[in-house]
Amino acid sequence: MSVLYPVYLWSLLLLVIPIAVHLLSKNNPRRIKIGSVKLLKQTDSRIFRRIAFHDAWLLALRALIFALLSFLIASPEIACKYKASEKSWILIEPTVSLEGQSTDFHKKLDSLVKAGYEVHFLKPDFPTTSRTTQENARMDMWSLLAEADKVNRDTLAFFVASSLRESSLQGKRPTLSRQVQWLETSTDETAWIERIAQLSDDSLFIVIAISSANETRFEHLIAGMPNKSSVVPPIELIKQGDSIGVSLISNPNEKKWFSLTKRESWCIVYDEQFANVLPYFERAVKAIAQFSPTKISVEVKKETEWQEKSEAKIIWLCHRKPLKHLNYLDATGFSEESLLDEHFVHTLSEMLLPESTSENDRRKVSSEMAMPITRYEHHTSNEQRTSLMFPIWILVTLLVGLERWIAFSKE
Amino acid sequence: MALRQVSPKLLASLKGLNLIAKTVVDGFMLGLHQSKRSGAGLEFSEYRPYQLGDDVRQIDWKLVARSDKFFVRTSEVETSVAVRILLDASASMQHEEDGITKFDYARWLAASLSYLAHQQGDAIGLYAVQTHITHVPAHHDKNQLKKIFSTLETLTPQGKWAERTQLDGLLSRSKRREITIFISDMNEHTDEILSALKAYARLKNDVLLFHLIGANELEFNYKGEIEFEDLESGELVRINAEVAKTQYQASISNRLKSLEKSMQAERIDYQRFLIQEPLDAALRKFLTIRNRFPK
Repeated sequence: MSVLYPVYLWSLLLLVIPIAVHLLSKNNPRRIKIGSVKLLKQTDSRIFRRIAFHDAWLLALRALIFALLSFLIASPEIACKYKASEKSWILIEPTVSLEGQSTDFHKKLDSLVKAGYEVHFLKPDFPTTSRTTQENARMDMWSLLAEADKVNRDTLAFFVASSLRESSLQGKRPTLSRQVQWLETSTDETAWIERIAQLSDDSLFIVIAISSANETRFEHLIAGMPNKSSVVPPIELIKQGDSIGVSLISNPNEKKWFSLTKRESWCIVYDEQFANVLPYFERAVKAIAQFSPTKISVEVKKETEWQEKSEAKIIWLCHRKPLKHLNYLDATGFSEESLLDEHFVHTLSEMLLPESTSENDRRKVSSEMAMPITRYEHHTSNEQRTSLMFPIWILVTLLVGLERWIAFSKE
Repeated sequence: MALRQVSPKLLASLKGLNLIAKTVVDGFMLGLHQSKRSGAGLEFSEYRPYQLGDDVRQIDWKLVARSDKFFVRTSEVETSVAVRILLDASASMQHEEDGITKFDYARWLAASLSYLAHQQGDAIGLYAVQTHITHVPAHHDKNQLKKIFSTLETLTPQGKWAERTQLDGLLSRSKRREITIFISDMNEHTDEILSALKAYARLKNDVLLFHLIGANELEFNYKGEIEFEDLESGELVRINAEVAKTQYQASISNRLKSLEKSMQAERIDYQRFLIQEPLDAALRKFLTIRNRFPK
């Protein structure tokens, strides 16, 4: 059982009233002079005790009534739909490697597990087993937390072990019915090859990204075309046929291949229905292609002239859906307002030029900034918390009746 | 028989014991139609026609000379009966109900009885028993009533029932036949009143006990938590009246029964009066006892 407004529990101080009344009124009963108290003294001594008992009952009743009233003001609730046996969760972000964490983190985790917390992984369905394959799919922390909030209703707080990556905390923060306590994990610096492009026949443009908790920086590098292999710190280049492999010396696993012969080509396919918006797209796509480090040729074709065999990347602007082609971007969803938006080209470029930045970005936000909104729910349609106001009101009414009855019968 | 009964509340509004006694007794006698006893005596009372068997010496010859008829002089009879009233004037008699204390009632009763007895021609004595005894010795003369009334007026109930020795010294010797009337609430510490009563019953011919009790004392119609104070000892007892009621009623009825029984055993005429009742019943009782005696 919990109360919605614990502040009002201060009104329990009202209990002083019945106790004070009781103590003050006790000492002045009516005094009557009679000839002899001899017979009265003969009445059973139990009577005296029963009187005291009577008074104690009244006091207890009055105190109880006041306590219940102050409780009523504080709006008590009881959670009744969900089993109380459910255990609280520690949610561990799958990208966090437990081995690399500090001893402090492990101590904290162990003490929580000892206290009865269950370890779950912050993935859809919240599995308890240790993570399977490392999923590089972009994780939406907020929606996962909102999901966990719905499933595990029993507790007041979650512990979430997370590296608090800025990239995973995008969008509107959710409103949860319980608190989230972050177990911050340490993050190591990571580097990857962000982009390779051919500048001229004998030089390559390479972008290396280095990300740590504080920053993600990009380093540009121009390397000469290797004959077989060459080392341009911090990278290593290997030529195999008409492809060039670029890898980091510090991390040979991070390797990207770049084809020298392959030209990327984009094709905008349209029909009459979208003819009016075509100029917007055409200019935007051409601008993106022009500023892209790789050479991209852009074609514009009517749906009737277009052949599905084409390998080019398709920007689709037709009423009909393409049947077999997989490598296409459905641009029909853009509204006319969004075409005029200043961010239109940027949005489109994000769709056309895939970036690995967001997955690898290690930048961190502070745990204070990463707090979801906590709102203690009550009174919604499928409510799991039941207000105790009504039964307590009934109880108070009954108790007041009882108190009055005892008081009158005493007089 | 229509009795003109006077309620104690009305009596409380009257001033002067003389008036009270008269009001009570006259009203009572009016109902009874009881005539005064008359016969041979010093004081002239009335003439009546001569009847066969009357003493010839009692014929008023002067009247015969005037009227040619035979009349006999009668006078109030002076008896040799003494009535002693023992009035309990201890502090417990201050017990008050409906604005009348037991002592008020006892005072009126004593006054009325004295008045009645005086009319009967009896000698009256008053003994007010407190820690010390105030007494008016038994006599039959014109001023006796006044003495008794003034003594009654000046008394205030206080202290306890007197020691036995004081009582014994006062009452042990008497040649006359006596009626002793105790007026008491029977609230005693050990059994001082009871033992005095018994002593008298063994010594004297007739002892009456008029036991005064309040209606509340009998029925215990109090409510709520009350602290009772003993008028004599000052002791305090706090109880809840309703809770104690049944038990109290049982114990008081037991006490009254045992009192009645012991009075019967000692051949004491026991009468209980509620101080809310008119005084007539007491007077009637007195007269019945009195009538046992020769005229």
